[in-house]
Amino acid sequence: MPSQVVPGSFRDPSGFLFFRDDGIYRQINHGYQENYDLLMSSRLYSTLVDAGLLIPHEEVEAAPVVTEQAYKIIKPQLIDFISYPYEWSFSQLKDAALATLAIQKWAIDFGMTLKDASAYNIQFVEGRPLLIDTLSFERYEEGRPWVAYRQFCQHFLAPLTLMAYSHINLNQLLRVYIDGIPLDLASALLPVRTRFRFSLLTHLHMHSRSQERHADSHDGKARSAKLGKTAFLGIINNLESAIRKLEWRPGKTEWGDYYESTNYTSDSHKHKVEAIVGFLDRLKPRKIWDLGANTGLFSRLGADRGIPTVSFDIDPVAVEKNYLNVKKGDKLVLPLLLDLSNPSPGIGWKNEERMSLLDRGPTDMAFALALIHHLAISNNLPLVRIADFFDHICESLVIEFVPKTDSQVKRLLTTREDIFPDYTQEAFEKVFSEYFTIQDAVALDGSERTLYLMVKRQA
Amino acid sequence: MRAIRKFSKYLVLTLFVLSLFPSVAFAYLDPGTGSYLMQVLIGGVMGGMFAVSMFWRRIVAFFSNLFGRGTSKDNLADEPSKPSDPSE
Repeated sequence: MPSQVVPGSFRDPSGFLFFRDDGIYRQINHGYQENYDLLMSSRLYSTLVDAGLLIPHEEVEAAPVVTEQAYKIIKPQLIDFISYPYEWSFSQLKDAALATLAIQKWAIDFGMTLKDASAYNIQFVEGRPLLIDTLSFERYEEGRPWVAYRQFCQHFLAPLTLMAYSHINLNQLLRVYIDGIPLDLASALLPVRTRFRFSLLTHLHMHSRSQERHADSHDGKARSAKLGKTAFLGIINNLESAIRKLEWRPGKTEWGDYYESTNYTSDSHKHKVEAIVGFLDRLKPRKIWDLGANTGLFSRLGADRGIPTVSFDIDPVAVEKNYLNVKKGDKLVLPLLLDLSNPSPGIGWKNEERMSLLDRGPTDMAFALALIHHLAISNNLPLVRIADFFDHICESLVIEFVPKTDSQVKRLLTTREDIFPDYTQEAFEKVFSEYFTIQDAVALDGSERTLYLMVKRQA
Repeated sequence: MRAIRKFSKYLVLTLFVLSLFPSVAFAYLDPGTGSYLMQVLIGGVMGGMFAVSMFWRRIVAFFSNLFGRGTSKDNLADEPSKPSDPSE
């Protein structure tokens, strides 16, 4: 059976992930044998899995990829959708940070420690952050400082502090810096008042200064410095307290109050819900991407039917609200931040370490509700390019056409010249029909909008 | 007050040690060394704060037990730390 090593799984010599036709596997190399055995025998693994903090796996008798290095092959639970920290809302990143520290505290209790603290090792599964790298643990040696301290500060503390104190969109720096935001950059961008909070002064500003001071130091003596267990735990607890105190109180944005400010009548909203539910029951998709989901109102129609639904929006306030609702129980909705006009690219070595949005598709069904006018008019995207995009990302499409006579489109056109003579319902149907078969079109009561169900044409 | 004096002492010491090093940053970065030393420098203060908070929890637990409130052993500092649920 052919194997394909996951492109982003090469930094840690302990093992690597690979795909086969029947799922994803992880090879554990001989070099990690002692630590893996300790993880399993110490009950740390079962404790963390029971606490919903570590991905469960089973040991399998599968052929290894690199035979001479292989100790064991494990098959981890499959994750519906891999997301990245630059796609998370403030509270998602905060919960991921707290989960990492909770895992570290458990690990210490069992005589182990996290040897890395990468935000990319955390994924959201059923609304909760989960560590997906089973090989992140090593035996704790008393006296040794936390080897992942720098990484934790760069991946979690720096972006969260920047989001809370400077600007919510500064998490996008994580897209530029794959190993977290450099502390000198974070320190330079943060306001002076962060220096008056002891934890931020030490973990970010002084930490950055210390890195600069020792940038050229290869002195082995420095690395042999000892840190007692109480001091070690003190640092972990202080980091946890610092993260917990970081808060972001979102103000009003264009989208955060969308449902309160639109001119949807309750009848047209109800009709729209009924039409979508009918489409879902007809095609029964296994997974959905809801693009331009706002706070995820329609994403929940899929999730309520047991369908994992990724709920994308450009607005950090909407994504935050969506996630806070997910925490209350809508576990199959995964809210994520995404600018559709500039979706997440492939980043890292060979642009392959972290997948682009399109690499993570296609999905069974996409929702594009009250979206097309923003793409076509606000972003000057020709209809043919929009149809081509959906052709790449989904097998079926629920899309709402919003005509120029709609008040929302009129609003978009009040401040600019109408250079969109081709933005008509006829042109929309003609262009999309080249990629999709239109299975249904429902004129929504009380509005001039039409909801379409389309299925991709077979090549 | 002792804790505050101790904390201030460590902070001044830390700032003093950092100020001893030249401020030129070189192109090659080895952030590990600076991060290692940073932990050693702040570990004393944060470990002290952690120890004080654990000691305080024991006192609270002792009096809670004495007056019949909160009999849970989880309140004791020498129990393994129960990490709180991040999704709460």
